[in-house]
Amino acid sequence: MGTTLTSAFKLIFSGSDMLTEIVLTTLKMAFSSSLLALLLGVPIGLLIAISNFKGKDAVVMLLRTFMGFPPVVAGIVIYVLFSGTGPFGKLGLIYSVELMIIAQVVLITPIVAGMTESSASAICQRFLDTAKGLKLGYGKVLALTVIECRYQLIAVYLFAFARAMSEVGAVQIVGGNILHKTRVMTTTIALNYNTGEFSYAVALGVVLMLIVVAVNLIASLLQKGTNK
Amino acid sequence: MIITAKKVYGQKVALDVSCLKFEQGKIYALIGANGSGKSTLLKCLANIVDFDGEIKEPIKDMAYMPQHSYAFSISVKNNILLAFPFKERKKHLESVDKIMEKLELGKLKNKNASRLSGGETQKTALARLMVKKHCALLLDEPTSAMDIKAALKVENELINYAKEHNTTVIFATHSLRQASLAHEVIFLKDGYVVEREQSANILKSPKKAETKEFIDFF
Repeated sequence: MGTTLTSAFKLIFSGSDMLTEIVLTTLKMAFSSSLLALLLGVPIGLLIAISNFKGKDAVVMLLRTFMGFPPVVAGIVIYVLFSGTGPFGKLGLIYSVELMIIAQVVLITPIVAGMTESSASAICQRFLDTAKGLKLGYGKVLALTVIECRYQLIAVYLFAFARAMSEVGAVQIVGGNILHKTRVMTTTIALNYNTGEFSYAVALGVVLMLIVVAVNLIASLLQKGTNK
Repeated sequence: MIITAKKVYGQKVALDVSCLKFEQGKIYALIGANGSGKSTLLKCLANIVDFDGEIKEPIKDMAYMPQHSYAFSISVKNNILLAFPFKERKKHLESVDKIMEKLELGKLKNKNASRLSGGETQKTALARLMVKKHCALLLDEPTSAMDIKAALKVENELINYAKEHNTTVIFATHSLRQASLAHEVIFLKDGYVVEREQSANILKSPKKAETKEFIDFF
């Protein structure tokens, strides 16, 4: 164990080109997909939270079902859709980082929407009567809901980012874990485990944890900033 | 404005009133114990909740302040500016300053409203309504969290506002002193109107035994 950890830290500080490339590909995929999921999921979640319509319970239930969508199933569905014989095969996105981002967005958007809906619904109850009493328009209520739920939205983003960073099933299927192209940290860890190269896997694990800690720190600073 | 409304929560009748009339420019106080239907009546009038019944000759421009009024996590000044469309905010800065001065909110102008005390939050919520002309104000215990000095000041400003704009003010209260400021007092019990009279009459010599029992308790 000690030898593995020592080798892992040596690898991190060696400035390995391959390690840097894998980390950068992972960051590109995780930031892009979590931001896209946030842009899509937050408005959906907020609209469901502040609206009253027939079938709202069914929509919320559907959303919560998709929150638990198995990544491997999502990966296979997207693979079939984008493979050479699939309806989107002509786009040539199979085994690309772009398709990995699409797969992550499909997986994370319902989670972002569901978490946003859940936290916004609870907070909205405190001010919806006030908003109705003032006859505030939909746009204003939506903007105020974002302001009132800002801490929760930061937490939602953190969760989305962590999920994008740590997901392995779908990106393995649609990305193919191709060296210098679609190899990311989680798929590399899985590969190295299978080939017995534990020090490389541990080194990537440590970097993965450091990135998550750094993002958490930035989010905490943001939360403190918005509280001033 | 004449309201006929029935509102049931589960099996409990929260409100059952028939042809309850409110005249333009008058001030009405709703009194009664907790759960008597005061808040539900205000919510029905404000169209905040669905109910069985109708409102005849409705007042178009009504503003409602709920029992637990909310101040958004923006400055006090921006909270009050919410009363106006976003594009027109600059035009109304002067009236915002005026109402803040009247309700003694000037010092809190730039303070984040989420950090206000209960009384200050209520003042901000009232300022948000009183910063522009409304034909009717529906206020659910508008000064319940204020100290007596602040409550007296706000009551005075509300009366002036109603006179100036010929506004109908309907407010729920647990204070008989405050109720005495209204033209008419409506006593509710278990969702029904027990008695409705001019404030001086109902508070000094109520006709119904239930009203007398309630008032004597104070």
